Amino acid sequence: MSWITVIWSVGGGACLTLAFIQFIVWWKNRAARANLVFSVLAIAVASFAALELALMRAQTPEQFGEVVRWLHVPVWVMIASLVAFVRLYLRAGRPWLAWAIVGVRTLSLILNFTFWPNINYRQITALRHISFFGEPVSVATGVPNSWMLVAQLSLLLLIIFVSDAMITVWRRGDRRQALFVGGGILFFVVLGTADGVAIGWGLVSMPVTVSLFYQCLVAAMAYELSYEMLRAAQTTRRLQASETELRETNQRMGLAANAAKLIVWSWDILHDEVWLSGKDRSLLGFSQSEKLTAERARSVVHPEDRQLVRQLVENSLTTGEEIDAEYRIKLGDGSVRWVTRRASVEFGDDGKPVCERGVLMEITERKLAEQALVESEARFRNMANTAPVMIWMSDINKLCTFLNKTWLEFVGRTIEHELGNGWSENVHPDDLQNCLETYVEAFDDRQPFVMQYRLKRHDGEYRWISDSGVPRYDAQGKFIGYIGSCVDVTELLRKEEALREFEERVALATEATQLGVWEFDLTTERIWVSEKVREHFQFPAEGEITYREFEQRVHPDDRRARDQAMRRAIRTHGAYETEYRIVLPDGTIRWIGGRARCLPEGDGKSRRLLGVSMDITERKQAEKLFELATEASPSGTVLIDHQGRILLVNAHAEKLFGYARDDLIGQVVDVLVPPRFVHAHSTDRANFFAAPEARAMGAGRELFARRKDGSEFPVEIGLNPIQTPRGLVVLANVVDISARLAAEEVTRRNREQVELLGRVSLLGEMTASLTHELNQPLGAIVNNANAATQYLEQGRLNPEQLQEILTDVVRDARRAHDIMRNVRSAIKKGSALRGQINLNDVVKAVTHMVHPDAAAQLCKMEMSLAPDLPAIECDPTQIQQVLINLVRNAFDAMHDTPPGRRILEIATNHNGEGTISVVVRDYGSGISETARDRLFEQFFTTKEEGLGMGLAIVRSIVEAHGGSVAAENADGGGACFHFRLPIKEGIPQ
Amino acid sequence: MMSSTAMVFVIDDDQSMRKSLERLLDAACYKVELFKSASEFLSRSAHAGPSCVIVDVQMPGLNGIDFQKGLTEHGREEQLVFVTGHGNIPMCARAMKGGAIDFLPKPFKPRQLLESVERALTRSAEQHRRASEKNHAGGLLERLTPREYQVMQLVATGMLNKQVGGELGMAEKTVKTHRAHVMQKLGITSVAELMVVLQKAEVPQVAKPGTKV
Repeated sequence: MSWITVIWSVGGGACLTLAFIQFIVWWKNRAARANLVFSVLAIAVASFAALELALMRAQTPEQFGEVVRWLHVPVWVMIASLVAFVRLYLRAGRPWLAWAIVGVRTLSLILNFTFWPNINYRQITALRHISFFGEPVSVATGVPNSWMLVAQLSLLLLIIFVSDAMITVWRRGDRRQALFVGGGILFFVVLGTADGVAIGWGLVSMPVTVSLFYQCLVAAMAYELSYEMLRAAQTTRRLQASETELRETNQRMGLAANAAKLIVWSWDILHDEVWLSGKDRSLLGFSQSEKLTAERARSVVHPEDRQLVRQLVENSLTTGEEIDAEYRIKLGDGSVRWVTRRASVEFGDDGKPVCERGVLMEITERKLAEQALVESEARFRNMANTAPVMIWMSDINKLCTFLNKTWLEFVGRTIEHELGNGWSENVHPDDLQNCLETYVEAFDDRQPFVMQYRLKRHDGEYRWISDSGVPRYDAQGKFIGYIGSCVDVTELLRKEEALREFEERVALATEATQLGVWEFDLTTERIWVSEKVREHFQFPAEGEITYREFEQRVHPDDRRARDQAMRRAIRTHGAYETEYRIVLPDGTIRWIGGRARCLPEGDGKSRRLLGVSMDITERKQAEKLFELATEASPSGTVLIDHQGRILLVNAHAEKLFGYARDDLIGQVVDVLVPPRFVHAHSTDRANFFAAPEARAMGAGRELFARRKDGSEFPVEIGLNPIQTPRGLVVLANVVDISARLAAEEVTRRNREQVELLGRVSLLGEMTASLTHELNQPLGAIVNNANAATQYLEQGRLNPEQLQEILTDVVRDARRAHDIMRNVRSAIKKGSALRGQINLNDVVKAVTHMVHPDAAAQLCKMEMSLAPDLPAIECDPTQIQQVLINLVRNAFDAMHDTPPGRRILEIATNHNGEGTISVVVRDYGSGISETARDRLFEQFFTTKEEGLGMGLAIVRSIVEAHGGSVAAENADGGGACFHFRLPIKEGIPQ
Repeated sequence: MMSSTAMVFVIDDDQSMRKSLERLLDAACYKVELFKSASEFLSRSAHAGPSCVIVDVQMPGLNGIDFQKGLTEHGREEQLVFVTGHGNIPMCARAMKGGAIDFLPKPFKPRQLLESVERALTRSAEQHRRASEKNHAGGLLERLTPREYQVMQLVATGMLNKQVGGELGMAEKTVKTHRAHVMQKLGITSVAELMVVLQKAEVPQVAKPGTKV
């Protein structure tokens, strides 16, 4: 019996058996790849063992070499499967190393077959037989092949690889596996390798026994695998037990969940099986028996929410975190429910999710409620935003929580500004205090409130707002704040203000105009009267007035007319005006003027009269007065309208024109005008109406009027325009001036006489001047003549001298003649020779004329003449006369004045009003009181020998020139006589 | 007729009158100067010799009467002859009282005028003479000392030297001395002559003390 054969065979056989077993295991569970690899390894080792046996029985070196050669094949398989095993079973070892090993080993295999006999030996020289375990075995002697190193390199790498894997597993924490499996593999590999190397390099002389080590390795690995199998069986049993337990637990949970309306589920992730309780299955529309995958289970989720759920699950599977989500599921009966999901994931040892367990809770009611709330809120918001009023809400802290769009648009600010207390920034500073107080007060009492304040609009204008708020409560009756609305009442307030003002004005107006207002209700026959009416009619201050009482007051004579007017108005739905008398309780009679109008009702009939009344007694009296005045006028009064028709004549006019009143009224006024003037008269009339003003008619013209019998008489007519409601009328005042004209004629003639007298008397009083004037030339003539005679006697007279003398004589003679002629002309009445005369010249002439007199009286004359005196139209001789009179009077007045003070001042002045004044002032005795009033009278004189005509003539002349004369005592003594002449008649300056 | 130192002045505002007067006076061989107004005349300085002024009473500006007053006030010695175109008695009286030589209404007889002129010149000359004598006498008197003057005054009253001395509180001898001086200074030898001098100088007489008035 060969023990070697036995051992090796048994060993090989055992390996094969183990390989077979493990192969079956793998067959059953394809996932157990490590087992497959093991079986491959075991087969390889068995082959190795067989070949090793063959090696030991080799007879010839060639045989030996051949076997060694074929030995490398199972060795390759062995190494490769060992590497694979480590990788699969231990799940460790660097992959690149693994590939390196396989690569190198493959290389060595290829090399092995290229060399003869094999990679180990270059040459096998001999075969020896040694005793190994009492048997002869073949041992080769030969030349080792250096290429053997390649093979040995792979073994070295293998050792490194396994060591590294071992360390990795150790580090991983699987100490047992590292040590036993890794360590074991390492141990046997090292030994085998050492043995192989030793034999290969001929270091020892023994047969190849490497396979022994590997057999041991196989055995160890088989044990390991079996151990695993055992454990797996145990685990399975436990698992089954757990599963049963789980099922039970689930069922219990399911019951509980059902009771609590929860759907409980668990999802076996590995097997993708979802467990649901039977009830839940039917609830969700699943059959009791069908296998539920996660996918299938999720089919109940509402399509819209599936994505969400998928994400949820993914999230929890990866991160293990659970996010609350709400989604819809469809029940078996088709109804949709809202659920919320809560699950937790269990992870296995390998970090992979193993199982997920969760709960679905129905939240349909809540969800619906929420939705309903959201909808209702949305509806509310929508309504609030489209409301024309501003709406606000506040919470229990009085802070504003909501303002609708209308508010925001009004103030032009964003919601962020307004919430809380921001809204109060828009309130007018003056109103803010009050506003807040009202709000707070009401709020604290949970009372509704109304307040008004000014709110700043987006355009900056402050508008009056009426804000009303009420407390609000939730469904449970708890107070949750206030809600309110605001309305812009600015216009309303303005209107109220306007109305108030209007009413005031009306009241004021009626008060001012003393109008009484009344309203008469036809149906009740009651009258409402204002205070003024009560006053006018002397009704009591309080109390109702009936129509009867009102009518009682009306004067009996006027009742009918008034009543008729009113009834007519009622019938025609119109208005009426009346004037009537009333008899007051105390007996006085007043005139009342009134206007009334029917107020139509909706149906077109009138039931009410609205009227105003006024006390027109004064006016009536005034009218009466006017009539009386007109009648009593001493001049004729004719009232003419703008067409020239006579409206009114008074009694005097009748007398003047010789017509009866009625004959004239309605006639055109031309009947009173002489035919030749009619045309001009119409023109005048038209002109007058175009520019009506009170004035005399036909200024500058002589006017004539015509009587009924055709005779004419001179008239003066004054025109007065009067505005009446019916238009403009003219009141013409006609005065017959024939008598006056005659008187004027007489006066004129008188004056002329007086003037003549005056001139004559003046002449008499000019003696002194005259004498002086004449004596000068005459005296000169005498002197010249005498001188000539003397010269002649002395023989000194030459012809030239004589010529001179004679010339002078002739001149003086002529002078004398002229003087006489002037005197003559002064006496003559003559037509008033008027021309443009400068008064200064007149004054100078007069001064010259009277200076002899002045000298004789030792009076000094002073002239102060205004320069640039305008010329006036006058008769110079007459003015001279005036001046001479005044001057002579002045001289006489200064008779008793001391000579040094005998001064006569004549002054001319141009006055602003278009007149020239001449002043003659003396320092004489002045004008006495008695004389003053009679100064300018005819035949009034204070002189012993005076005619009394001087000043009368002065006045006559001055007035004929359109001027005036006056006299008074002057300051400082003496009198001052002054007269004034207009520069130009009727021409404005 | 006086010598050439005599002048006749004519004041009249009327030209032909002036001219005719000039002719008249010239024909009578007087020297004439014409003036248009009294103020024109006054602006001419006083004539040294005898002068006569023919002046019209009624003139604008300064009239004749005022002119006369003015002359008197200024101490001018011209003799005035008034002429007038129109005179009255009051005017005439006033003029004469004021010291005029004559008052002639126009037209006057030339002979009348010339006579008045002559009279005026004579008077004027007389006045001049008197004036110069007065001046001379006055000058003599001024030579006296105050004491001499006093003595002279009393001597002029006829008092004796002794009386004079008693009056003035002087010794008779002193009086005599003063008296002698006075006589010598005045160029006289007697009291009578003294009287004459005093008269000429128009010195007012002092009353003799003690005489009962």
